[in-house]
Amino acid sequence: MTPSSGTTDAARRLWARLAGDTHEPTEIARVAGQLGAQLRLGLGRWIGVDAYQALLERAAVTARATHPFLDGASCLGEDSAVTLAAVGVHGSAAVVEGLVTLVALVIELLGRIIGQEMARHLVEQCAAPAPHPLPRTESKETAP
Amino acid sequence: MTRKPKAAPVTRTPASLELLDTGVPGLNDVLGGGLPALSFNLVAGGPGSGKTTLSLQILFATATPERPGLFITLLGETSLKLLRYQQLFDFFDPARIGSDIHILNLSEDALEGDLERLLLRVIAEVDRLHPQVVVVDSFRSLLRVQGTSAPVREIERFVQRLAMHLTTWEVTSFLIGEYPEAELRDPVFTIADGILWMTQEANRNSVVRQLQVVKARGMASKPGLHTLRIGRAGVQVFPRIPESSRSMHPRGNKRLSSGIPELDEMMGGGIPVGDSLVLAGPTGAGKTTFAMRFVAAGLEAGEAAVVAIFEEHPDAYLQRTKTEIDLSEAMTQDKLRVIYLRPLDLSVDETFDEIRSAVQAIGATRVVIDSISGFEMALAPAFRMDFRESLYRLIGALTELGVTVFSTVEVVAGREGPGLQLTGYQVSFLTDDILSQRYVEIEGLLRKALVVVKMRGSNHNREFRFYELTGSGVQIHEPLHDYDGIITGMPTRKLRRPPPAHPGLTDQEVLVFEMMTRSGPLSPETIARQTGLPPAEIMPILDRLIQLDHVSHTDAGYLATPRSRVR
Repeated sequence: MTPSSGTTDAARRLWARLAGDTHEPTEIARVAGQLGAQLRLGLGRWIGVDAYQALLERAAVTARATHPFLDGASCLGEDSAVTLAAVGVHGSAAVVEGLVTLVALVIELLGRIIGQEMARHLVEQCAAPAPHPLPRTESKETAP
Repeated sequence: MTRKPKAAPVTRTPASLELLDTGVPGLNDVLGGGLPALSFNLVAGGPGSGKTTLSLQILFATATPERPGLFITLLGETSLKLLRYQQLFDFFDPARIGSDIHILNLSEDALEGDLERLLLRVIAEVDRLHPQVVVVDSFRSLLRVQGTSAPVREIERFVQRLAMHLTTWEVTSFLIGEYPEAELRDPVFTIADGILWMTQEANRNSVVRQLQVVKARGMASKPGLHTLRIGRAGVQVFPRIPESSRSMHPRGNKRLSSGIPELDEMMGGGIPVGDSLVLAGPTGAGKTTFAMRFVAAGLEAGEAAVVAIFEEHPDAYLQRTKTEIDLSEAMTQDKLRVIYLRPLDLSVDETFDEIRSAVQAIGATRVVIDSISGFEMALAPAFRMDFRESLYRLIGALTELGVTVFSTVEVVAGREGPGLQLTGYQVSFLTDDILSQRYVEIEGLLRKALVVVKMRGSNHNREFRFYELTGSGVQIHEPLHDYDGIITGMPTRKLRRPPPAHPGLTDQEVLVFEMMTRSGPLSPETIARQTGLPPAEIMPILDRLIQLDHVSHTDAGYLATPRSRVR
């Protein structure tokens, strides 16, 4: 499965919104973590954490075929060290491309269920600054 | 002794409730004006009855960016499915998702069974978003998850605390739950300000969804079961037609033309405005043609009309109608609306809603229902059981709108025996006027006959008259005076005795006189011989004929007078 150009563009815009055009390894690792956490929290709120995890795992299996560095990562959010190491081995451009592909695949898979437009809309909502501050709870979503 | 003055009556200004527009067509009406703000409501019913769709539709209708709507899914329809399927409805605007519509999935929390944490999550979200309306779907599933691990009273306490929090947060809320009717005594029903009960019943090939307002604190809600339909636009509720007082419908002196002058004459000058008329006849008798003449007459007079049909598509229907005026043109100008209702799960309330909407939209004064038989077929089997009562409510509600209703009904031969077959529906109690068509066999030809059976409060013609359907409409001919037994369908020509040629004469006197008018002078013996009468009877006969100036006596014999011969 390859993500469509529309979802890839959406994922690329999302990355650019958070990271700009940085090639700094630590900044890439930080943004990857931020994006992962926001998607997990945001999409987890919309569709449930379990459903989000299932989608993410399916997306990661596909993404790893072309971006092997994702093998060692639990994907988006909890592995800044792994991302940092990957940048050192594969270079920032390759790692960013891998992360964009992963997000695009999440959108693609979600879009197959709820429609591509709605999926992009939700993912963009998750990555955007929340108009209402999210609650701090003891839920699984905020747990490390 | 002076009487104490009566105490002045205490005047109380009833507190008014702020009402929210539900955005569900028909629901505000059923609720008594709208949804009370800050109310705590329960939407109960079986799977597939439309609970989630109804609640989400209300959420979209009431949400604003300042006061968004919050939909919390526990263990009912998962939010993924919710997003997948609910966006197919017109009311679901994806652009509003995340801004004024929020969907929160708490299924994991619900599955873990920590009600305290679940409550904290809900409270935190309500506190954060300050929503106008909150929907919790499906609250009822908590009970199943809890099962034996949590006592029922813990669930009750959870619901009570949730209700209290939602109310103090100034939120209008809905709990959705799949409840069997046996659990109506559940404490949550006591807590709730409003209870909407939704059902879905399959009967053969039809499905009927209904809604009942079991409870609506502070509201004069409409009692009874109201049908609802889930379509592309979402849920639409059809308020039950109230029992009407048909005597209330206005009856003035004004009459409407049927479009057939001879028929107007038969009816005593036309159809009284506001009447309900039924035209009953067998197939092919021209019921639709009569109905369309009625419509055309209205259009020619500048009125608007609504036609409800059930058996064929409007294009085909209009094509076979015979009127001088172009009905398609009238439709283009929105002076005529043809409503085509053919689902087999139709309700009377839905039909009324469709007709009323059309009547009000174009200001129609004439309504045609073509036909009552087709209408019955289009109804869900459950509604056919009390069809007469439903028809009574429908006709009553329509005439109360001030329109004149012209209904047709097909009479099936033999259904009511060989007599005057009217409708097969015993509709005389619900109609003001009845016309009856029937086939009659006259000299080997099948002819059509028409009679006015009933015109409430009017003098009308009671004669059967032949009619013909022509290229331009209907031609009504002279009354059928010469026939008896028309209502049997096989009339007989009346056998009339010719007037007596010689009034006042006995048969024997006529015999003698007739013979004498053909002869010259005759003797009594000759007369006796030629008539075969006894000779003794001849003289008395001749004396009487002379007395009446029919016969004279001459020298040559007895002779019929010249005046009698001319006659």
